[in-house]
Amino acid sequence: MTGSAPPHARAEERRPAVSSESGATGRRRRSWRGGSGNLVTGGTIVVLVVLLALVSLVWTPYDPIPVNPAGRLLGMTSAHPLGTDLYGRDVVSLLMYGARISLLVGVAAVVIAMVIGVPVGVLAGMRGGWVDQVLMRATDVALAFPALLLTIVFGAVWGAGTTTAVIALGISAAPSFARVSRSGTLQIMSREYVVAARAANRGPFWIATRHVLPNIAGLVIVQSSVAFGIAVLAEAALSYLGFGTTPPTPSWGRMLQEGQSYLFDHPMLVLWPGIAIALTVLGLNLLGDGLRDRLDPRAGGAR
Amino acid sequence: MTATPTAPPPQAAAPTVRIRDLRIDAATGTLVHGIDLDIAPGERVGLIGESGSGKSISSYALLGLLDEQLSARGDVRIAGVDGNVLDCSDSTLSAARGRIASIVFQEPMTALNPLMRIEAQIAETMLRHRTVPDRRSARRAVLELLAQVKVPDPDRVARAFPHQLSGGQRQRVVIAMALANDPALLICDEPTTALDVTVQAQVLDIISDLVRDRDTALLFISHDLAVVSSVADRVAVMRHGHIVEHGATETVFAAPQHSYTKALLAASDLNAADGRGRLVTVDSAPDSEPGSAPGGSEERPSAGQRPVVAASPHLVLDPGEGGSPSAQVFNPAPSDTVPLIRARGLSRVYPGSRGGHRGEGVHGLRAVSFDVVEGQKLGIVGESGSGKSTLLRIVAALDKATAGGIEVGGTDLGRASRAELRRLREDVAVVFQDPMSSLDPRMKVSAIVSEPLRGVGRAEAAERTREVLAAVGLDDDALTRFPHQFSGGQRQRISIARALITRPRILIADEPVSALDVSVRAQVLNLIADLSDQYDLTLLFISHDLGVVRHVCDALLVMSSGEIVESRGTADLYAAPRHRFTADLVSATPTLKYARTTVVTGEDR
Amino acid sequence: MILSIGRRIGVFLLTVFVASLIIFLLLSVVPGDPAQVALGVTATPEALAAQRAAMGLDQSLLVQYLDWIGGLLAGDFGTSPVTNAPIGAELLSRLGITTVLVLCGMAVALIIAVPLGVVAAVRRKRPDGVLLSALSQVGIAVPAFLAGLLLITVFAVQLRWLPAGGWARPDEGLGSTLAHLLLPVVALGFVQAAVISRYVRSSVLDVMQEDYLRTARGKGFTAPEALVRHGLRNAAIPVLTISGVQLGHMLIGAVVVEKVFVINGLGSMLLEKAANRDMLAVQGIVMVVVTAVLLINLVVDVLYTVVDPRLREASS
Repeated sequence: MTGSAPPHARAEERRPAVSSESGATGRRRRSWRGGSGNLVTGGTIVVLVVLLALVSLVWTPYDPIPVNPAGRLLGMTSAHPLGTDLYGRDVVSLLMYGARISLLVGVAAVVIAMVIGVPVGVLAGMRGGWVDQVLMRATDVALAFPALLLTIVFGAVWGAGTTTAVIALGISAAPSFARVSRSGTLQIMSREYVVAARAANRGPFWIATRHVLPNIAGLVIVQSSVAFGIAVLAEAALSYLGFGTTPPTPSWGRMLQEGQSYLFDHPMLVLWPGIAIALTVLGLNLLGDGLRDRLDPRAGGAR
Repeated sequence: MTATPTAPPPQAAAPTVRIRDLRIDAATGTLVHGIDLDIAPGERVGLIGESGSGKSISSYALLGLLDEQLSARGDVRIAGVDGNVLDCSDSTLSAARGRIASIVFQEPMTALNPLMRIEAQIAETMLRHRTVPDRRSARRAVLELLAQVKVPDPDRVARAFPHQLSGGQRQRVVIAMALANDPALLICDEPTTALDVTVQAQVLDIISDLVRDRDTALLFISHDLAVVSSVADRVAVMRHGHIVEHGATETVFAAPQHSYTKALLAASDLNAADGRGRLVTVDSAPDSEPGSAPGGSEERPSAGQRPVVAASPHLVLDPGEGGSPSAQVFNPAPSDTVPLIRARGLSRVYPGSRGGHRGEGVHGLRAVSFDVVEGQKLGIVGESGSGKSTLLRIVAALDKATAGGIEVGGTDLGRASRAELRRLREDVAVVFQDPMSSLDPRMKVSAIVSEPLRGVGRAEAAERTREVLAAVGLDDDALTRFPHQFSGGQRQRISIARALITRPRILIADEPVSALDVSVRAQVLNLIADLSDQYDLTLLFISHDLGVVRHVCDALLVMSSGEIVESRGTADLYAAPRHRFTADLVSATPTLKYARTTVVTGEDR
Repeated sequence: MILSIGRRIGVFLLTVFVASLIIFLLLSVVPGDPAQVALGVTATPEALAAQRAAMGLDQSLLVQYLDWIGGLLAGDFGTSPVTNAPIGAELLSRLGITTVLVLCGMAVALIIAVPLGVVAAVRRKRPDGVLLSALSQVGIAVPAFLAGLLLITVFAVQLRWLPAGGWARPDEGLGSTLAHLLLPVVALGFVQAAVISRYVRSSVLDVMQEDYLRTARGKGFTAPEALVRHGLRNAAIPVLTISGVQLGHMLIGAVVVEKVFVINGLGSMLLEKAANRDMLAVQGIVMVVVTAVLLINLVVDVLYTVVDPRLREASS
């Protein structure tokens, strides 16, 4: 994680709103296979990680919390397929438990970001005028606080931990949701069916819920998968820095940090959590790309 | 193949372009099924077809500009290019593009690089092919070209960026670019479709003149028969990837052989109507043989037959050019009648914040006054920026006037309460221009059509939805489908059904056919005309196209720059336009040359 | 154009002001007493009161804010109640290190990302384009600290070519500086390159659909020539945006790389101060970072108006 949580700020506004229209001309059609491939690969990876995390709720090969000094730094054995860490904990169990934390952080952060960002964006896009100006200036200010910075500051103020990290990551992802929703809303508001709804005496709430939200849902979903990946990376980075999930709860980032001192003799202790993080984020990004190809009318004609 | 094109006329000299058996395939199927076409030096050929006929991609194939997803086979020769064009590499063809053969695309707003000055973009064409020795002479040539395409101030335009120019000016720039190296062949792909009528006329003149002066061969692609008839010596009619008819323009237009050509011609001719006073339509069956005779093949019979053109008896002629236009009430109601719509001094000024002009705001409407009497069918005609859309928005209570007042059905829109507005919106319905954007892609047709209904039970809503869909000619199975499953014309029917479901008194149609193919256009116009009789509607029909309103409306308001410049009975206005702008509009509206006088209008009802 | 730049600067100053208010309020609601933090739990009530007065904590929030912001404007970040050392000096030297790291990282990222993204877009249907695109996907997913650890393993531990960590100032020998800089910059730059190349790719793909590119080909340019002459400048606009955003976020994002390579940069300073609950220092660091991010946005905005003539008038 570079901490770089790319908030996909203004670049996103160039994307058209997702509202599938027929008549996608041949010129605008991208390879269908590519989009579908991304979708399948990404989806498979994500589903696997989710399954792993779900299974960890009821079963892990070993209890990942208590230390076992007798069995530390074991290599790959039949009892411990991926070995044990410096405290003698089973790496497979740690990875499974870590998946839970990563996904939890990701889901919670995305939900917070969505709950704040989407209404703000839709409101700004629908109302326009000074409301829009004020809200967008506010997101500008919010965007000036990088995710990692905000999380560390929150950690300093309220104490580091998973909850603090989730809140901070959620807040810092909200502005990109607001921007994406706003640009989507602007596109939808320029459609004649919205004018038709107004001419049919339908109020803003109806228009927002019946026309705007369903039509920007695709954009928001794509943004969610991107933000999810960013949150997973950020959680790992924070745990690595000691500002995320607190011990003894296992987390991929802290596994990396703990394994770092044994890099030369036991490189796999760093590699396994590293691979877990990279694979999860890769899966989420591929899923996001696949969804974009699927939902973006410019990218493909399919709905 | 199914259709055998008539043999190309014999050519004396080697043709500039010689196309044999051109096929274009996409992953989904074949789009062009082996067409043959020759263009002699200096000859002007029109390629006619509706959307999806394959006319544009055929022309792209000539220059190697096809999309990657499409592949072309066959034999295409262009004089000056060695070998089969379809086998040439991009670099070989690029030496010919812009030098031997040039192309002008449809959409002038996006055809120019937004980051480069006009001068550089035109000069580039010449510098690329080294037809000018250096930048200084390129600049001279650019100014000369800009003068030839008649842009008002060549010096200024050369220095401008594309966004500083109007659509018409941009298209002139694109034409200048295409002709910069004096190519042997110019391909124009719907070059005027995106332009206003008066601008279209100018641009067409420019193309015709320049091509004639330079003896350039022209391939002119358009869906608009009237436009093609004004530029082409010879036409080829395409449908579903075949050339179905081919010959001298005069012959084809005066004595079409293929049934599709006949039907297309009939549908294009908005002066023509069948015995019942209805527009002639194309049978839009999907197969390539539109066997049935042109005529109201698909419409249900209308409730009452009506004359095409009939000046409303209570229309009082306006008092000529005398008084100041703002003080004048256009289309005034007779003194003993209360007008349904009464607008006085209606103005709309948009705050000139972003991109505004000198901070004083943009005038959408400048103090217009007019009446509309119950049952009237009033056309509102103007070009882009004339204020007609602003007017629509105000009448439909979607926007408020900044000055002046308007009453609709006795309600003052400026002071109406919420309840009054609700009632009013049930009385006023709108049909929008773009059938793609006017229906929410994520809603089923049943939900779309019933959206305006409020305070109505489920069962009744469903019943009324079915009823109104039947009235526009759609079956019940449309209810559960999504908009993208319908064609443009069908979507416009859905839009009309939605407008009618509240049983409004006033129907506002905003350019309802301008996005439709010619063949569908007549059907939708007939439908609107029929329904407004059937439902006793007062119709406000907004259009940029005089030809279109002429059929449906009995009186017209002509708008320009936010003002009404003239209002008359349709027939009168056509016969003798008073205002200079109206006269321009009438003369600029392309008319079908050579066409037979079609069936008489329905005077005998 | 001058006017529009002036307006942007005004907006920038306003935003900085609002941000400073937020930062100040956020860090003055901290639970716990800074005086207590400074003196420790054994301090007497009298000593605490004196400390509070010395730190200005007995004043109203408004006065405290004005004191702080006034100090900042004069270049005075205050004295840390924890270490009793002036904050500004340390902040400046740490900022210097991080700036070098981040700018070099960004340079590396752009050098890699632009060609990579363009090729991935142009050859998106070919195996090499797909491969490049997939590589960048993987690159985004790899955390920078993992990349750093791997680089250390290979180049410092196994091959012993480069130092595993630390920082050498230029006056200690330029070669040493570069040697120390190389691995962290590569770790930072590679991952950024992956992110930015995705944007380059998608923005080039967008531009390739534009009508003016077809016009350019109609004038006689081959597809690649048209892209280079007409496409790339247009495609640069979104890339400029994302580069600006990434640059700002790297100021703190680099902290993971700093930690891996034991470099005392700005992010590390923030971590230390946050762990020590040295709120005044945290406040100063946050203010510097946020101002820097906003400043970068301003520069990007101004660059837009240089690149895109449409924006020159839109706001003037």
